[in-house]
This record gives sequence, C-alpha cells and structure tokens, in this order.
Amino acid sequence: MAETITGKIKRKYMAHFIDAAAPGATTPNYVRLGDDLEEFNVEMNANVETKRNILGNSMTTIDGYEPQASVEPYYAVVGDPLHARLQKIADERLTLDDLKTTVVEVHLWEEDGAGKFVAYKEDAIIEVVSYGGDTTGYQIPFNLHHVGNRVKGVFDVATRTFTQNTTSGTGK
Amino acid sequence: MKIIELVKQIIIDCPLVSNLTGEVNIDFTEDKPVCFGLYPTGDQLIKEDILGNQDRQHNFVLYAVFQSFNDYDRLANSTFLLDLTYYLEKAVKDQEVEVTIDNHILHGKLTKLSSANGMLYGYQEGTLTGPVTYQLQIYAQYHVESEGL
Repeated sequence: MAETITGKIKRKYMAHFIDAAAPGATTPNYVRLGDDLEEFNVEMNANVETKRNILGNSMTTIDGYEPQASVEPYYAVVGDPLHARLQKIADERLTLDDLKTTVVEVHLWEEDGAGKFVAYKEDAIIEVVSYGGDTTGYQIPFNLHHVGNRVKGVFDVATRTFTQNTTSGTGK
Repeated sequence: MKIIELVKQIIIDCPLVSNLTGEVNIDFTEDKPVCFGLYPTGDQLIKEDILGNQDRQHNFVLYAVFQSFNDYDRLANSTFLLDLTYYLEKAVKDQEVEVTIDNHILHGKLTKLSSANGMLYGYQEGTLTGPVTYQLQIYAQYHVESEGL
C-alpha cells in the first residue's frame, strides 16, 4: 500500500475477511466484509468472574472469550461467493460442520512486506439469522461465532491469502 | 458522467420532455413556454460504510414553464409532473457516476431517483393566464465506491 498510515486509524484499515469457500474446499476464498455496513463490531463477550473475599476485597478474573460479530445488513449479490455460501445454508438448512469457516482480521496499518499485512486468522461458525428483507434488496443477515484456533500471520491483499507465522501464535 | 449531467440527461431522454422540447437548461429558464430549467441545490452524505463507500444524495429543482390559459392546460401541466415522477422512479438502471474528490476520481452508480413537491410555483406576467412556472424537486441518490483499500 502506497499510503503511510499515521495517527488516528480510519475504520477501513481494520479489514475483516471471511472464507466463502464451501466446507472441504482445498483453497480458501476470502471475501472482505463491509459493503453497506455502517458499523461492524466483534463483540468480545468475555467470561468475567468476580469474587469478594472476607476482607472485602474483590478479585476479578477473565478466563476466556466468546467473540461474536453480526453482519447486518448483508445484501445478496449475484456472483458473490459469500452469497452462494449463505444461500446454500438457508436453502438446505445446513448444520454442524457445514457452517464452519475461517475469518481473518487484517491490520492494514501494519505492513509486513510488500502488499502483506499483519493478520489474525480464527475458526468461526456462520449463523444465518434470517433471509428476505425490505424493498431495498434481498438480504441475508448473519452472525459469526468465533470458536478459537486463533493464529497470527500475514495476509496478502492482492492474492487474498493468509500465511501463518511459523514462530508465533495466539491460542484461545 | 457527473451526477448533474446524468440527471439532466435522464430528463432529456424522458419522452414526456423530449416530445415538448429537447433541451433542459442548467440554472436557467426562459420566460416563454415550453422551457425546462434544472437547478442543482446541493449534495449531502447519506451514509458511509466501514470500507469508505458512500451513499450520497444530490438535490435538484426542475422548473418548467408552461402555458396556462385554462383549467385544461393546468390539468395537463400537473399531469405532466405526475407522469414525470413515475418516469423518474423507473429510470434508474445503475447508470455510472463519476465523482472527483480531492483530485481523486471515484466511480459509482445511480441508485434511486425520487421527487416531491411538484406544483405551481409562480406566474410570469402577474396573471395565471400567461406563462406559469411549475416546480418539481428531484432527489438523486448514488453510491460511490471507495478507492483501493
């Protein structure tokens, strides 16, 4: 990327990709999320436990996260591989492993080689919430449940490929 | 094509207009019927997604100078505005729009045309039987793709 990013980071530089390939496909097909989304948040849903001892002191621990993100609205576009994936889930009422995918979060402000950026990949489950919508277009809003196996690597924006770092990783 | 040029062209291409006159002026109307003037009144950001793509709206007022000798004329004039409203709603076919922001040329497409307040606006010679001006407010919504990343 030619542009050097400094100061306050624009929202578009935190990029979210989802693998739209069918389960069992040999190569992922990463599609960027964000079209028509005025807001997109990955809710961390931390598992917080707070205890108070007999001295009156409280102790708070966080022993895990159940991250979740909502993609709404999602307007179906003919030819979009993500639409094909979501439509199949809705049409065939897919469950279990057929809902598995991976998501990649790319830090476009952290370049790591030409056209490559620091990224984190994580397994996820697609939950189609509904399908239909109003007269603005056919919509298939869905939730993404992050389920772990989070690894650090680099993402090539041009080829849309993720390469895991061999020396580091972050497990859930 | 810029949004102003595009909307002007859509109006010119409308058979209702082209059957009367093949011309639509910008910010100008003559006093004699039949004449059309398209007046852009500003552009606004409707929403922006997290990729930087924008939905924008450009507002216009179309002034039309018609004759108005009797009720028959005035009914025809109002019917013209009504028919033009219907036409504009169906005229959107993802036409391409070009936007220049800070010397960057961005591309987009027209997404919606709507209109409101089609009505008699004023008299030309102080009498209703002379040429009269009608107005129709037009709203053109368009989607602009963010460049690159």
